[in-house]
Amino acid sequence: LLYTIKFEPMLAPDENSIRVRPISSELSVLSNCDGSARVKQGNSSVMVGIWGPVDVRPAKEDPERCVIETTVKAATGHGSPLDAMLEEALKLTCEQMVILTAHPRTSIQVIAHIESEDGSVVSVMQNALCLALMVAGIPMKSMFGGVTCVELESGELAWDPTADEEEESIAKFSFVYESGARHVVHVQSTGESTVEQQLLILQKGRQVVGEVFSFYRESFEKLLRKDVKYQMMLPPIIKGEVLDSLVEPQG
Amino acid sequence: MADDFKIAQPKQYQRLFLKDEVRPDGRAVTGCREVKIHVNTVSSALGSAMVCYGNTRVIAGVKGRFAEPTINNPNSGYLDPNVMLPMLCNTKYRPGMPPDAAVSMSHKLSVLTTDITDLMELCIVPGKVAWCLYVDVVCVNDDGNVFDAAVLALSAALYNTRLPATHVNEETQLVSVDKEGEKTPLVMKFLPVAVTVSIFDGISLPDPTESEEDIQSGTVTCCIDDSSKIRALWVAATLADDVMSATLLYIQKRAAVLLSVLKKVSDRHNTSMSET
Repeated sequence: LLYTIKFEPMLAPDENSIRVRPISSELSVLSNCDGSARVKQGNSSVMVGIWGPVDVRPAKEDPERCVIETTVKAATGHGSPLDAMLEEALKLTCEQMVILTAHPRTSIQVIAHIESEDGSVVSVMQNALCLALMVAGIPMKSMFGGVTCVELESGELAWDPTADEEEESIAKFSFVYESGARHVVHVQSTGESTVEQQLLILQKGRQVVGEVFSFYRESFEKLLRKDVKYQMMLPPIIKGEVLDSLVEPQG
Repeated sequence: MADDFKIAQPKQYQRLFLKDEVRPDGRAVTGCREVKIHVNTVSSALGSAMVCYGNTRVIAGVKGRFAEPTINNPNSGYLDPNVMLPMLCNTKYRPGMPPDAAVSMSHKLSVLTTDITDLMELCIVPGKVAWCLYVDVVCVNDDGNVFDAAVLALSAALYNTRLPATHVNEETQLVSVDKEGEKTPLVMKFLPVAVTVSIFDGISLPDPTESEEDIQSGTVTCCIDDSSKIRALWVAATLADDVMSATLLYIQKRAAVLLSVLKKVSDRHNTSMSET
């Protein structure tokens, strides 16, 4: 089952305007996985496949919680230490957001394939991970979304940077927020910055991640619209009117 | 009996101590273990340091080799940090592939040290020969918070690194070390230290021990340099903004203390010093 949605985020253009690239998703891309999603932001594309909860070797199993195993495959070349860092980022986010104690003595396997790299790959991967976990029906505390920001030499901030912008940057900030109180759950910041700058960018990032969360909502509403069981669950009065207004783009 | 309880219910064990506002090893909730720094411990290295955070002990050594610069950067040398977590430091590490923690720490150190020194200063003969400085960081005892000790050891080792003078043979064009020549200290653009805070039950516990690392729900690691700027921040915890800013300010203060000790030790060569 393939559903594709294109979404142009509508952010009011002003001097503080934050430009993000068009984001699109395809859910349930891989038929063998329990859940899968492909997310594209600009020319960066990542596909995540999830199997879980599945059996785990007795040596690795935990009697109280689920064990997360992640693998990241880059677009080209053999494994590199960067892949190990991306695997760790996915694992740490899962450990914060997935309700691990719901499935003890099992494992959730996450495989991420970076199809094309054009900047902000960490965030695109985290977004694909969240959608894949939702499609797989894995219990989570809330949704989560990632944003990346770079500081260019001019001091300007570029959100959702391309690979060229990342090359030229003097500092790079990646945040993952959870969708409830928008607390931060994962941060990876490198390059020179001050404490005030980190906190300021963290707060600004919440605006950007709001766009990501409304995109998730749209993706899922479109997925469920085609789902016969879900349609049958809705009372007949709502089906025609309210559902249409829910999926209309806002603003 | 206390040991049995600690093994059977590690979280409850920790909670009982935190209720009395102490940690199992007796320090205050926001206290850090005693830090000991010894510099120039490895005489065969260009620079070295041994750092102890309580029982966690890490040794860093800088070894210099001659290498050919890359075609893209013909006037640059190399700086290659690597963290080793051998089996001797902790029973949880098994023989074979380096543990994920070691790979992750090595990558973090290489990200941290990308601009730490002017690589052009390491060039000897442009396009032909340059210094390649391997910084080997070896943990000899892991009692938690190896990363902080590793960064401090790396900084101390690099700060105390002295590059020997080199001599280029006119005829053979071979470069050799001039043993009689004067050594030049390695110039560092900034001096980083890392402070790690573990989150347990919503309480921030800086400088966790191994047993505290096993039960933590999240971790905040921040690298601060000698001008109080953040060089790197890695957070894997669900944090509200006020907790985040309070933690970062605490880390800034702690980093300043560690840097002052590091500088004091290094300005008097071949001595050691400890500070809590």
